[in-house]
Amino acid sequence: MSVQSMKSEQADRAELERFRAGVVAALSSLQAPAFDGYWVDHVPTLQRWQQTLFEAGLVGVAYPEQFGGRGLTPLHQAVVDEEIARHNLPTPIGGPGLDVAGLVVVRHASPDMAERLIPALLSGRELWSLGFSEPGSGSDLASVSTTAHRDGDDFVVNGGKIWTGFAAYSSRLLLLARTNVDVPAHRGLSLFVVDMKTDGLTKSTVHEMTGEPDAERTQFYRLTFSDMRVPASAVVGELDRGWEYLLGALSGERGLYILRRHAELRAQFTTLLQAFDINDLSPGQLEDVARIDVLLQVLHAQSESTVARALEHPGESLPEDSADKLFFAFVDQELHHLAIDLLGAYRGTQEMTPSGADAHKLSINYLYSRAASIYSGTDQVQKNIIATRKLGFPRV
Amino acid sequence: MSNSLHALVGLLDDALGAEDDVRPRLDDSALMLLWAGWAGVAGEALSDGDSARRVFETVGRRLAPIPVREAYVADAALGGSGDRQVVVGGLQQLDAAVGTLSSGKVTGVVELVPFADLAYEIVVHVQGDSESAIVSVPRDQTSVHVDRMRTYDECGRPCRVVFDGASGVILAEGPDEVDRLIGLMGSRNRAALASEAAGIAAAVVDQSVRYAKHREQFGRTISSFQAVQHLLAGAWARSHTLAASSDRVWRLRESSGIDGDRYATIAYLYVCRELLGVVETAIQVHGAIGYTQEKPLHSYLKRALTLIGAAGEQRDLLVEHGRAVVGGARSHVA
Repeated sequence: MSVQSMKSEQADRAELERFRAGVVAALSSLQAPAFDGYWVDHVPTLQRWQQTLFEAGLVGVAYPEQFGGRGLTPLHQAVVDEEIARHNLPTPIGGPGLDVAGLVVVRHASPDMAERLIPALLSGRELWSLGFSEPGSGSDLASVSTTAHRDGDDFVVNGGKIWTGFAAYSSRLLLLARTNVDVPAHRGLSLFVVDMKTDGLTKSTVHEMTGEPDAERTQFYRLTFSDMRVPASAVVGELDRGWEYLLGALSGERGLYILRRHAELRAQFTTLLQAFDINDLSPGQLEDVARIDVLLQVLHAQSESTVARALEHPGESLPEDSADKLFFAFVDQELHHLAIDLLGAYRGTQEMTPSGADAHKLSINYLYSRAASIYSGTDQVQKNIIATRKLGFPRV
Repeated sequence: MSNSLHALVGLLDDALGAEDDVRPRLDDSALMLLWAGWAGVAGEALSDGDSARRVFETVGRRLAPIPVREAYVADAALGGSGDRQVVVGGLQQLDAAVGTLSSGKVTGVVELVPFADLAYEIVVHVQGDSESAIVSVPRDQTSVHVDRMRTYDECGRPCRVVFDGASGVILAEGPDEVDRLIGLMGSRNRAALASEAAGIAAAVVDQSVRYAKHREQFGRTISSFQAVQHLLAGAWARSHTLAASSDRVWRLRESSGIDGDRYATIAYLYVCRELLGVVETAIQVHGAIGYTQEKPLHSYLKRALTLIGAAGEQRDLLVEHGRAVVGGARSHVA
């Protein structure tokens, strides 16, 4: 790094810290909603919380000002997310829509479409779902088989999606579908903004392991499209370029997530330790506690190098992002192994322990930690990215 | 690259050959020449955090067979910056006195002192009649006996030192001043170790990636097998984290000394956790040749074995740190 770019990085860091101070001040003046239990049962409350955050200028800060954002960078948004987590406040419920769908729309859709859709997305008035993965297309997303055939002014969609979050509440779906079978797989895909009430769209629950077995509402849904008609005006940007649009947004999602995850995991670790008395812990457990603290501090070190990278290469997706993802997933799972160890015989129950630890919440967090090495690209996908893009190995 | 770091790399190039074929075994006269050469540029090379990080990463990457870290630590007590040919006795557990001080004479035995047979002075923590002290003892006196100890670590050169009423210069006396110096030396040691380990991890991953692209089995390079790719991608990710941790140590030391000292212990504990695994993965990727001395990997592994105990035993430090972490969390509640 040249002396000039080092100075520039220092100036950018100083600006970022001033911004952070403003975020902290704004957050401290807000009243967060209190609720018990699983978040899927409190969606309207969490939508109001997003509205509160939006009015404080803390949602969509990287979105253009004309759509209700602040015109700043994804790094600024990452700092907001980090501080929300550090203050143990609920994250904006519109997350997937904000982090991926909205960015695709503002970058690639017509200004009319963006102006019509984005303000409601930012304020939390409308939630969005993402329709990308399919039962047969998980890590290999480019192989999606849901089709959209042109028929007059419409496209007719057939197929199905899975792992679609928020489907019980969302107003819109960003749908990835195949519009051209005569080109290589990743070139024949398009993105559509679909009204969730469209005829031909049905949804059914997929019960995640953290939910109740007979829950009416769940985190994930399976969507089925049977001759669903979508107007041609719902296509985002140009036809057949959906893969390219999506990749840019998804890589952004992965790149700076480490800041927020570090803060969330640190908060979870502190809460965990507060539930146990030091005299109840064996020397072996004290060692384990120390090991997790070491991992969290090193995760913080790695998030700092991520900030430096984001300042030097704004908006770029780099293989180092995959190293971040691997590491915070690992720390997450190690932390929750400690949690279930400290819970003793109460692990897996939905009770309070005699010492006052919430075994229900800690058990849910443990179960959720198993998803850390799967969501946003599995560990194996991250290693493929490093192997090919960083180490120069051939694609397998 | 600064001029002084460039000079270090030049010295190592001349003495050791190419990085891919590191041979850290040098005869005594070559070692003294290399150490003296380094001492001439150390002051400038270690004058700021970023330069020091690069120096110690280079020391690790190139398996520098001279006590760059140990001299840097000793100079914390002497008030210099690593430019003297001095080492520390009992560096692995600095808070334990290794001998006694009576009527200005040092008596005691200390083992595993790197390069004590080539150093001009040896800094030790001793117990006086009423209070402890840090003393610098010149080696070249009849009351100091130094024997080489055997080791697999080609860069370590551990020695057994017997002080038999040796004269020395008192650098610090009394609990406050002794604790202060021990803190300074310990922090320097752990910070340097974090960077040395990052250099080792980067070197073995680089060498393994090159090897995987060249080595053919079943009619193709082993880098085309996903099992090998994932081993190395994981090792690279871990080396990336070791580098980020090394970077943070020196940044914090520059901006906030106390935080830097605290984080140095964290970084060292992370080294203890990860370093062996990265080198072991590199050996695994090399297969049978990795188990031999045909490739330099065995030297890195043996070096790593020494480094992970060079600033205290992991288990002891973890229990102590665990108590502090739980205590801190509880007091936060109160």
